[in-house]
Amino acid sequence: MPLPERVLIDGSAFLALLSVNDASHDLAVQTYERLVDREQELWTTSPTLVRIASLIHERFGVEGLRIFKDSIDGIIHVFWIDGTTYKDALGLITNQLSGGDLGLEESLTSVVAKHLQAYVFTFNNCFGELGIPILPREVQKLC
Amino acid sequence: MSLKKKGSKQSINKSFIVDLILTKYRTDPDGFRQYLPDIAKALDRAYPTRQGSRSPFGLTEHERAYRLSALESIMGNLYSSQVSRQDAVRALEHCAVLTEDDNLPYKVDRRSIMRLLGIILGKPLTDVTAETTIEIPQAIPTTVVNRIALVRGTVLNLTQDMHLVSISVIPQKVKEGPRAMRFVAMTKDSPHSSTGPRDVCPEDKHATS
Repeated sequence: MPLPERVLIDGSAFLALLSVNDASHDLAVQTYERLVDREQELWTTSPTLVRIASLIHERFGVEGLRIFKDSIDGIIHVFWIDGTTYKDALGLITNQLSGGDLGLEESLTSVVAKHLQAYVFTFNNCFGELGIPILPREVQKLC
Repeated sequence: MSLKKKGSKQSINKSFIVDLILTKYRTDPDGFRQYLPDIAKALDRAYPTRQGSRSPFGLTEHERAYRLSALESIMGNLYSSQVSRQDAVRALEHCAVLTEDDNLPYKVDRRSIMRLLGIILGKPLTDVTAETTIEIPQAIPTTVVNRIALVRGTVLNLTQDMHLVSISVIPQKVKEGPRAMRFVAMTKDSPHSSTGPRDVCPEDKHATS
């Protein structure tokens, strides 16, 4: 299967990249390095960016936040969530069958992935269940 | 306002504006093209659709097995003995085909691909300081049909049947690769853990790869 044109990075992928001890760290690094090297169009959503940046700021202070900002500047584009996308994501949650465990951030990511026609770089298999193509393939196989 | 502060603000605004424009271009391409045709054309050039002649169905099992085997036999000698320039060219061709097929083994990492590029360039990739294109001598005249990046800042220019014609290097983009990895592996703890605040590793292992 050829590589996708665009890839949307979700919170679980950022967390796996950040922590050496994360179970998915090595696979996340290999996948991210390839995406960067292939110069694929990388995106994240503004809620994911805010969550990860807040976490880094809380844990590593301003210096950590600066490193994160400098690392992704010009590498990862940010999809700033507007009112329409927010409503679409809320609709996706409220239309879930009872027992559905889709969170707002995941819902926004799935809506944006559809808008951008992007794969999602994730370790959360809820996207596969929504029919959204995901990376890495090793996670795809688990869905 | 000082010049420094003004410059910083302009830098932030620039990436923010680029992201907003690119979002509209991606989510409503027809509407965007109708109202801003010149900018749409500029974005077409800046963010080209992958052009190539490869099948959307990928390689056959036989083709994949052949490419993997041929690549492994060259990579096995990469660090133990001299790999010739011709071998390095063949190895990069195999890497390009397997990358397009999304089946390049993870053990063929950035470091080994940079080593192959270094053999062809005659010096380490990081020592290239000006934009350059290295031509690979061809037995017959060829046309570039496929362009594939294996390491950020380098483009392999290949024929329709994936023979390497030339390699283009953009040093500024080569530097972006290690920069993109700087936030990776910032902590040994789970980010949810409450221990170990401010344990930043400013120059992590990826910065030198």
